[in-house]
Amino acid sequence: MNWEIILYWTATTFYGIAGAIAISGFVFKKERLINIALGLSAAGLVIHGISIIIRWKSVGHGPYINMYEVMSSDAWVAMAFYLLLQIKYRFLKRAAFIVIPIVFLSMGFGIMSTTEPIPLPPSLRSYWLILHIVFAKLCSASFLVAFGLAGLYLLKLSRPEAEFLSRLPTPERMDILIYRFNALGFAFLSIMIIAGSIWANNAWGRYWAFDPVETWSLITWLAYGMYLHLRLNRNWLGKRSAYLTIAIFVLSVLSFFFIPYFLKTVHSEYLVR
Amino acid sequence: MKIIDTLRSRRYAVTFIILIIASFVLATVIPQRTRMSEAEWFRLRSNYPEFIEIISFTGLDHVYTSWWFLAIVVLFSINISLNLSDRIRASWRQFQDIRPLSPSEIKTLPLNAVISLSGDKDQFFKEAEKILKDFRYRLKRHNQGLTAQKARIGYFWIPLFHGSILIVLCGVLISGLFRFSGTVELSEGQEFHGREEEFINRWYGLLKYRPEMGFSIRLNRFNVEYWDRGHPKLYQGFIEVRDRGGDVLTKAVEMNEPLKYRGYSFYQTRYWGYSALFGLLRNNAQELTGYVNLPYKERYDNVILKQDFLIPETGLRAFLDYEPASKILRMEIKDGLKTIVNGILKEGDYIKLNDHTLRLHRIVKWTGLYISYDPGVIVVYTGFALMVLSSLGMVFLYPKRLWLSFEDNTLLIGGDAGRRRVEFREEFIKIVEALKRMTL
Ligand code: HEM
Repeated sequence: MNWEIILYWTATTFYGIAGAIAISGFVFKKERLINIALGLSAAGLVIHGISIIIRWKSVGHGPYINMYEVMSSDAWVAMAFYLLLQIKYRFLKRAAFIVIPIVFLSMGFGIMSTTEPIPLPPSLRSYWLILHIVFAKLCSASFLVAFGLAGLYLLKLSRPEAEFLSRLPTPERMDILIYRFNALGFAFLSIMIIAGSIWANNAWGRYWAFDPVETWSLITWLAYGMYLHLRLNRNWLGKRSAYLTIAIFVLSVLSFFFIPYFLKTVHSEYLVR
Repeated sequence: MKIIDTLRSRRYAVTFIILIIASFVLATVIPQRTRMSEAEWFRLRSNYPEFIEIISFTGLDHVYTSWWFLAIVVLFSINISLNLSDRIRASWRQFQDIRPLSPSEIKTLPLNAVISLSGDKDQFFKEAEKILKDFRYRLKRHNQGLTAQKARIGYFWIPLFHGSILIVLCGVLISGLFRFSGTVELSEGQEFHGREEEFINRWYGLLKYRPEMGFSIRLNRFNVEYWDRGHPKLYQGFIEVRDRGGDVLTKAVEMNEPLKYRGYSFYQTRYWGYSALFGLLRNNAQELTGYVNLPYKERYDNVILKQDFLIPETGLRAFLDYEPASKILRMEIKDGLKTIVNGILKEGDYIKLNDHTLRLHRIVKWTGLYISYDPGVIVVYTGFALMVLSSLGMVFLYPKRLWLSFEDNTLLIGGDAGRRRVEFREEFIKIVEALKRMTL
């Protein structure tokens, strides 16, 4: 009996049910349902965390070698980040119907790849790699929050009278928060790319090789840079900023998770199995 | 001057970013010649002749070295540089001073408050200064009132960030001009002096420059380890540096643990194999020794490695079959098509060939090393460090300003923190509360 997989599925089930409850809470505008969804997610997070620890011990390295480990740990970090954040910003509770289903889908996406343990190859034993991975997760999590906020912001503007959305902060405040999380994600993304580049230089003797995933991360970085410019110098605030946030978030998901499947890259050597 | 004005216009920032993104997208979507083998390229060219014609003509088959991409990057760099000098001057002005505002100006600030006041103004200012100092503000008295600012260094993050992009680009330029890299296969006991003919592959930067290595390295021993289920765990070469006749240092070179010495870096690759060290003696002349490297295979259990080589001075060709699992080396020597020797060799065995004696000294391991000389790296890393600093700085350490001024018997307080005024509000409210308590 493999506890790691059983717990993984249990956590996925928790997230799935929580996601469904959060969506119905949103549709039927029931605050209580959202609280239940958050509670279930927190329980799922603990179970999920145990599954990750079991795997960590049994394979002897952190969760970052193939798509299963990457998606699982990304989902964990995103969920933990979100649950902590909604304690500080209570109104973020209302983004649950976006965040929890995304985490659930990541879990499903992760389990589609092999769960076979893959030991750490020599090229991946590096502190720079760990930094690279930690900041990749932090930046995905920040962008995810900005994306969720942008969705809520547009909803609120389109239905200003909706009771459910009434306890969100003012649109101005949300607009600024979207910007803040994009800027934070941008800083994390810069660090992720830099750590990856230094790692590559230590392992293979070159700091940049125009590997497709590398290039697409740079494209994402430039796109967020463009967002910051449009916002600061061309006054792209409000709706425009929110739409752009959503578009660039989609681009970042494409770059980080789908490019390794379509293009030949060093990242697919261990990501796609 | 019109051109300079156009080049420096900050309106182009977004245009440049879009152009660069578009180039990157094209470079990953359109097949790039440098990322393909000759054979793949040939196949593509015979299947889609017109398509290849077009992308070759426009440089779309080598985007990153095409004239138009380099032109975009150069214009982009000029644009940033020109903007940067303006921005640094502006930041410096903001850093040095804060303009006192009149009461009516303070009232228009995004954050402002009014406190009614009675009593001595000078006494009040002394107290207020103490409070603001507790909040770690730098203060300045004016005849109208008080100005205060905090985290002034924050004015420099944005120029520093753009400067770091420029520094990274400079490093990339230096790499492009001066970078040298190459690969060698070094056997245990073999020494490498950095001569051209010792490399298997060499890649030069645009200036075809490579400094004399001036020292040599020797692979003393090579060690590989596997995980239980056959995945590689460790590739480790013990390398000794010899400089000016003496040994300087030895280092275990592993992946992610390169050896760096006098501008050169030596990287462990995952390629390794077995090699045979032969000696050739003719009469009483000095022995000629040389390594014959057997091919690299992903796994060495259940394989037979084949290699052939010309035996110097004799005109004979030797064919080797080596089985790593059983450590049996079989050798066949041919004179033209005629086999003259065929048998198994052990370490120390020798074979007589007319005037010569061929001796198998040892069977050892060889390993692939990647060697680079790249003076751009240090510049790129400097840019990286500044970029990390400034991008975190932009988020976490932003400048804040306060203005205090009297109008009749009221105190006006205004605050601003640029785009961060919403976050600044919390601190602003705390400061106002503290000032209110004082006046009670
Ligand atoms: C043609 C090149 C560029 C020019 C002329 C330019 C110019 C500017 C200017 C004028 C500002 C606003 C400064 C201010 O008023 O406070 C700015 C901000 C900024 N730029 Fe650029 N920039 C360029 C390229 C880039 C690139 C390639 C990136 C990175 C992807 C970038 C990232 C940023 C960031 C992060 C900010 C700060 C935005 C904020 O704090 O909201 N810039 N840039």
